[in-house]
Amino acid sequence: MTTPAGRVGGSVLRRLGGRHRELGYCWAIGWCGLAALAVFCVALPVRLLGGDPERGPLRAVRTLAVTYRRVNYRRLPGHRGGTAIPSPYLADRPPHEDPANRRDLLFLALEPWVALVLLLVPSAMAWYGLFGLLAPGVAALFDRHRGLFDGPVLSRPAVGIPGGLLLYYAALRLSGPACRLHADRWLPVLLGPAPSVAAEVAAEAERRRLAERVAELTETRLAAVDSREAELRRIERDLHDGAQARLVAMGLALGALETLMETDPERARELVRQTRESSARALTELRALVRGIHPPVLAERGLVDALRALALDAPLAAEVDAGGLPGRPEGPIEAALYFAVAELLTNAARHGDATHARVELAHTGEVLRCTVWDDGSGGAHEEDGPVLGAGGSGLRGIRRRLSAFDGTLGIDSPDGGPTLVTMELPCVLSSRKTSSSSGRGSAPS
Amino acid sequence: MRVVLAEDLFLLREGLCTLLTAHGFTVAAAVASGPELRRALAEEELDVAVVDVRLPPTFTDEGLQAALEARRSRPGLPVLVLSQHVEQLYARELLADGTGGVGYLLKDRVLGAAEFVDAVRRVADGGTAMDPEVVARLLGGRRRDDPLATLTPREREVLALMAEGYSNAAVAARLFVSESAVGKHSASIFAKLGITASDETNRRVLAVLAYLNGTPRA
Repeated sequence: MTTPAGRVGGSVLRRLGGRHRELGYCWAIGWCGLAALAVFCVALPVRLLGGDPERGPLRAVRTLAVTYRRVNYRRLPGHRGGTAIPSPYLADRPPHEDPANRRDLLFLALEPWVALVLLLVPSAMAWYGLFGLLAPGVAALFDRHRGLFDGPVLSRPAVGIPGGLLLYYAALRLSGPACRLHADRWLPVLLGPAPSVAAEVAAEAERRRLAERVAELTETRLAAVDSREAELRRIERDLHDGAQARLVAMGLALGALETLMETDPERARELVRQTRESSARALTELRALVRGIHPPVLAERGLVDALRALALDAPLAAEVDAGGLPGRPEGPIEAALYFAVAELLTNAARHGDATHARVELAHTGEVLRCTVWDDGSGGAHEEDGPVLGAGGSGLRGIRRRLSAFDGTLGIDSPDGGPTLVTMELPCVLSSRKTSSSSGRGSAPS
Repeated sequence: MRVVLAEDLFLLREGLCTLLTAHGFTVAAAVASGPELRRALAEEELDVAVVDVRLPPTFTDEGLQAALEARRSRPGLPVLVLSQHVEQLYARELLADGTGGVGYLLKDRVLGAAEFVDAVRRVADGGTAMDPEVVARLLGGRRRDDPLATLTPREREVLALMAEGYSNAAVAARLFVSESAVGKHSASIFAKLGITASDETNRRVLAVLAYLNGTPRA
């Protein structure tokens, strides 16, 4: 939809969709009032007779109230609440002492009437409008049974069609305010925590949140320790099989040289050449190892230029846009993002057959957001393959590394591409000294 | 020839001093930190500077920045940059002003004394000395539709050596072919890449590097 007409058409369609969702809410939640009425009628006598709040009809009261709290308000356009109503129940109180139970019952008593007025009126208007729209046509089709549709004036087209349209339009206009009034204003009154225990409920929610946070931190800390351990093992192995072994070989060769220099100068020269090659290879291996531990360019230039260097070396055309990043994130966050982007670019070229990629870095609020887009064949899945290494996408490994900083990973990779990966890390930027090339005239890539 | 040397590791600094002195250079100043280097570059009478990228006190790319700054205030000042690792990013910055007298080598190359001294001389004379690893990276990781893909393996070898900064004669010596053969190869390379060739070595090397650096990659 690139033409203005197309855009207008699109926005009208979207708005119409939103209005009908509101109308749907009025209709569906409106009829739920009947269920509320039925449960209330059965539950009230049981409650008055002192029934067990944990079972039977009183259990149903709780279930229905919980269902009302969980209605997905987020799908309603313009709804401010966004999330369900917080649970008002107190864990440390016997059910018959919890004011929330009494309030649930009261809610079920009142909800049918509120729903009737607020929600079923727009619904009824809509249905009657539809009926008016259709009545003349139906009447004309079934001429002989005209009698059926004779009654309402609506069966005359001149009245029925404009009247029906008007009524339907009015119902659409009304349903928005009606469902917002219902969801935002009415439901929290009785379904939310009672004023007398609000502080207690909030404290409990906080306790629960903290407990969840502790569990999450325990898990991510374990993951961080695990991956660090694996990392150190890999470094140990690389040093042991690589540079260390080469140094031993070089030492042996030098020992042999001492005697060979006297006896066989020709052979000695050859050995010197080999030893020099060996030392060059050891240096190359160490360089690769250092790059894997902490890329030197990251230490020297910071994240933005390190990403630029990465883009230059990537096996595809990659550009980096980090305009206006006012400072530098903490070192570990820089490293995590660097390795994540390196992995994503490699994946894009190797598994997705991408030819172009774009890395964007921005800091808004207290969140550092890094997106990596590529024009590859898409279909990147986190579940596939091992945590680290080839074959799989390594996306799970990236998520694990980011989670140590409370970071998140979002993957949008439909089959056929393109792929857009979004990484978000909460962090503040510091004004650590960097010498970014972007501010120094030469602007590579 | 007068050299300013900046290297923070004592052993390597001493080694380089000995090596350069033995090959007829005069070490005008051998310094170990960024501020000292800036002062030396501004004050000393010099023909070439040999500079380590990472220097104290910040241990970031202080040496590179000092070298770039010095070249901005003294255009064409010959600078040979040494590093433990090479980055295309740094190579681009060094080559950005389009004048010669630039070198960028891995510290490993110091081990091959003769080659290294040759590189210092080349840079001092206004030529270029790019590390084979830099050139390999400039040549690698290219798109499939790149004109470079149309080069024959031999032409790629010739191109790589030219990018490292060698003259036709030097390229011929390295590949064990005649100089006229190198001339033919390079004519073919320039035709394929659409570069206007120059007879003069420095200008040709810079054209090759500009091509490798500037091909639109995005």
